[in-house]
Amino acid sequence: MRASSPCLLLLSGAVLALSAAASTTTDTIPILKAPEAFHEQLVLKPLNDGSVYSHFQFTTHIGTMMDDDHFDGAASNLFKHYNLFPRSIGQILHSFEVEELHLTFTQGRWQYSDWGYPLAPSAGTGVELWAWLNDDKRQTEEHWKGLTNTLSGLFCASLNFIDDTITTEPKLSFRNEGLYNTHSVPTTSHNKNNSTIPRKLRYGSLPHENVCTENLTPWIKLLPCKSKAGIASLLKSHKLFDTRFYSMAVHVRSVCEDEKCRVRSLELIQTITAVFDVARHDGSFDWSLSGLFEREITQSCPLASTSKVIVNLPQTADVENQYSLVPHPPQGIHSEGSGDKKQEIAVYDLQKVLPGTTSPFQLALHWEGSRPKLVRAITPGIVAHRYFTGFGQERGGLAIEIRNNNSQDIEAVYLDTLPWYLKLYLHTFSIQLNGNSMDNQRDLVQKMFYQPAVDRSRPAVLELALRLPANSLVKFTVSFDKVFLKYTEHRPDANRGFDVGYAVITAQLPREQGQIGFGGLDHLRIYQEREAGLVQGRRSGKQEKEEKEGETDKMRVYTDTLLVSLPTPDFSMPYNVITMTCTVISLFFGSVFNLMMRNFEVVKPSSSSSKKSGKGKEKAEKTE
Amino acid sequence: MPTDRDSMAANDNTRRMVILSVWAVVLLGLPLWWKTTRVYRAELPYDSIDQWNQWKACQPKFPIRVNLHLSETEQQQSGRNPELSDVTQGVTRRFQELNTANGVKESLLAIEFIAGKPWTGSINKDITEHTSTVPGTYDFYISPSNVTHASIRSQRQGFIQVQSWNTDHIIDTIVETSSAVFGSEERTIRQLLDTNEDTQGVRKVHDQLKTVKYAPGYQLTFSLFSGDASNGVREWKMQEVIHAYLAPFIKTMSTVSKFTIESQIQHYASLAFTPQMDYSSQEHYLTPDALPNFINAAEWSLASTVSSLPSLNFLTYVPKPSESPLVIKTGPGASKSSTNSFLIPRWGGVAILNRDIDRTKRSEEHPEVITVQDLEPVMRVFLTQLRDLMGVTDLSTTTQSSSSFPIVFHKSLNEAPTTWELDNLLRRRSAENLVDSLATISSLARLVRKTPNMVVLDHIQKDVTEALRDIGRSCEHLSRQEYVEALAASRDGLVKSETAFFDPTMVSMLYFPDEHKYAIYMPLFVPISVPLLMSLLREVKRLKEKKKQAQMDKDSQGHDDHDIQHDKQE
Repeated sequence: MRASSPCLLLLSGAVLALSAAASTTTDTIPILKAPEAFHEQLVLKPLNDGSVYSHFQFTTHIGTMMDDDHFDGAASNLFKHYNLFPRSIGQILHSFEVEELHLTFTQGRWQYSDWGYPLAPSAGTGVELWAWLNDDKRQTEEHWKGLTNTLSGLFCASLNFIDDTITTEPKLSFRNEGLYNTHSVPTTSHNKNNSTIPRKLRYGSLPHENVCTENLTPWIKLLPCKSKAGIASLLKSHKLFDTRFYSMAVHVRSVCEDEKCRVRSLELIQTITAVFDVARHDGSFDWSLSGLFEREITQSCPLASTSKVIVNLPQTADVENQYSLVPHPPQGIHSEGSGDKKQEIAVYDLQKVLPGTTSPFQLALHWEGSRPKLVRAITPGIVAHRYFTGFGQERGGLAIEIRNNNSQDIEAVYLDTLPWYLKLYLHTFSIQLNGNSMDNQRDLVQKMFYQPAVDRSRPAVLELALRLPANSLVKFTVSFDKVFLKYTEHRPDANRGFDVGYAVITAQLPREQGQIGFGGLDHLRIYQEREAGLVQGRRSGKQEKEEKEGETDKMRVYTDTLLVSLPTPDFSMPYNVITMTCTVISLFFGSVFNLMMRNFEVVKPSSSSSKKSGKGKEKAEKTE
Repeated sequence: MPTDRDSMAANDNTRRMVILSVWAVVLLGLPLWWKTTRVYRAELPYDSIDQWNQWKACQPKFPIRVNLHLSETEQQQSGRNPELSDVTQGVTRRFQELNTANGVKESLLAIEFIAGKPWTGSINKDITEHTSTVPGTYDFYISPSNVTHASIRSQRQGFIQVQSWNTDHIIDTIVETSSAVFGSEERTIRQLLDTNEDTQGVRKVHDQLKTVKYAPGYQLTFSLFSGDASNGVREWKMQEVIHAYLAPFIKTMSTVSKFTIESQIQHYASLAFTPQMDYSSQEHYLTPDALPNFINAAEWSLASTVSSLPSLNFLTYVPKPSESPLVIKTGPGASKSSTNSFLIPRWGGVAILNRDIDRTKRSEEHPEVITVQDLEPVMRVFLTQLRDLMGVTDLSTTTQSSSSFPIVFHKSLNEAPTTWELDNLLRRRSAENLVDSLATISSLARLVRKTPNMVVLDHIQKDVTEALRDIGRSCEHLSRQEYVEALAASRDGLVKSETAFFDPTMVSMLYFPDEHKYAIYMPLFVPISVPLLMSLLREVKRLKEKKKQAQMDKDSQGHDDHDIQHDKQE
């Protein structure tokens, strides 16, 4: 994997210093001009089932001179004077010494087999947060806690519930992405010493979290043009949340700007991904921008360096022109790849399209026939499925199926985080390959990390480095016990059950295997490079080698979230117990007390009166 | 039958014993139950809080030492030289007289005049270098001159020139200068420490309205709010302006509070309302009534996400072209505000910057940059506002012009507080902190006393006790003229008292009123209490009956005898 290459480690060490450097005084700091840039991009693609995929990507760069001499000054300036880069994010990065931050809010299920892979890397339902923190001062735990709480306040989400019982530290997944996309990296890096600075990964997810307008509003506030101009003016929460899939993310990382990585910049990528079900109302697969979003782009964001709308055209059957795109792109349609990998792209540069006219930017796609015939069925390289087995409220089991559709072996990392109230039995772990159980697991599972859960303090983590054989179906099973929770540990809606988060499979997949666009988050960057014809010239070293082998992309595949129902107690129990005990005690007391209060006398059977009580006796005496 | 009667008597005794013992258990058990089901309440030091509220534990004093230096050269020239000791005694005596005349028993600012070294009479290097670095110790240099004149230098020095060189006149001048310098401060602190409930509130609110609550550090945020990106604003040179103008202020203030500074640009920051239009002057204007709504808090990102320091915001608002120029005035035709800015008490300041787009386009290379020249007047306004917000009193404005001779106050560079102002601030902030922390503690004590169900944990008690100790420490430091230490101690006290007051355990989520307790124990108490009460009543009734029986027995003795005999026969 690329992340493990030593040069990358060196570089990320330098990045670390970027966020670590801090200075409280303002005197005698050389003022370096930090070039800032903002790019906005909207990718649209009709999917095979007629839905329309839309991906908004807003990238803010804040650059620094990375000479060792000027480094401190530049960094402290970076986090003091903000222009395009949002202050709230900058403050968070600075005060919690965050090197890299990835926060994703997702609602709905991403359907890999129908839709392929999304451009945004995270697709697990709920909230996912992971960050690389600087552990120089051994304050990672406090910083992580502060980070979750602050983000919780910033995005109006329950991120503060990511506590020790949820947080994990994956060993193989979620590697530092910072310089993953960068250009050639010289091995003789000038700041070797920085590589020893410890960094720590923290990962947490909340599968139960709902995403709504209150999370979108603060997200929009981070944009330089808000939703007042540019592509972001399409963001209308009513339409966005009425979709089949919605995902919203903030990624912060550090990237190199030149070949030798002397100039680096901090990159903030904000993405929104939504899958619109256009055929829901009238069965027609035609769509237009104003129909999808109920808003229009009247002006491009004046602060943006680039402002583009990109349409990935559908690949129709042999017959050409089954659809028409209105208006036709001014620069024509680009083609990428050939044969099965062919992708056609239409690009609209808003900065060129908009200024000439007073009318807003319109875009529509009309199908000639009633139902489009699509040529390429999407076969995603890796599909995973995870489900519970077993029945009852005491025992259960977990099964994971991973299908490799590639014609080659694939290296993948499987990460599963299970809450502590599911007690995994690792000895029951078994593997099946294409339905046959395997005795020698070594071929398949090359590495295995297992962290047993500790009650009420940490989750169980299972991480496997796998080598998936070509065209195979691998199935793991493991069984567990369900724990009887304490009365106060249940949610208010206890009978609904507990959400168990998704598992994540990270794999290096050959490019364009049922992917939308290419390159994930680096889509924009790669796209710009290709456009500039710089691809061949700039890429070298390891990446060149990879290109010979065929380009690969690091993909993360998310499984569905699961719902587990634990034994649920009767919540009125404490009151019942008190009442019951009190009643028993009082009954007992009453009878004993009454017994003691009464006189018992033997009444002679000869006596005329047959009354038994002492009082009756007295009365009898009186009457005599 | 005697056995019957005996056994009945024995039965009665046992029954009574049983009732008595059960009741004894109940009566003993009830307080125990009450005690064990009660919420935990640590005892607060109410007595010492009450004492402090009346300043009985320690009366804060603010000692000031003024060294008087008489010109030496004049002494040699003329024969009738005023004695320095006479002057010193005279000034002290006059000050006491002034106090008694004002009905003040004891001055809070205990000014002590000390005879200093004689000086040459010319402001030479020695004197400018010999400056007092101790807050609260000042030097007055007195020399004869043509006109009476006082000039208060920035470095804790005052130069007083007197017209006629005699003891009385010198005394008069010194007294007048001193009361001009310290008079208003004495009044302010007296108002602050006033424990009289009636007058306290009103005056305090008025005085402290603008000033931010004291904190050891503040976060200053300079924001450029651009109404629309189409007004061409992309960049501003605030960073450079901050370096140039704010640095002296921050350096001087560092003994009182520390500052962290940030700046940001927000584009597309529209107003929540449309400004009115004055067609005669082609200006858009905001009336003072509209100013409270100026800050669009919902849309403008002003809050800091991480900083725990109180933040002060300074906004530069560049209106969008359709609302430009934007001025502040009371109505159409009225004269507009000269600074085009306003202060928001305890929050920050706002300045509206109108850009003449045509002019900037013509004359400058980068019309999208707001230059240092553009920002300079804005920064001057912000500095004045910052002084107000920090509570730096401008001595020259507060001093009444009632003095018979001119008193000139020297200012330091870029509105930075002078040493006089700084000492003033140290004293006033200490006093404020003392009063605030005491107010917090006493309201906490009141709250705890009034809410019997409130849980008071041990650490609250600890915090309160420690806060009181810090207040005491601060008061001692004050009386020893250690102002910096006093401020630090008073700040500790304030922090601790507020930690105690805002402790999350004080507003518990699980708050059970006593009624709940009764309701839960109802199934036990009601069924038990019924037979208990009934048996008690019956026993009382029986006793009464027995007494009656005994009475009746006495009344009809013969009858009874016959009965007994009759029994015996049986």
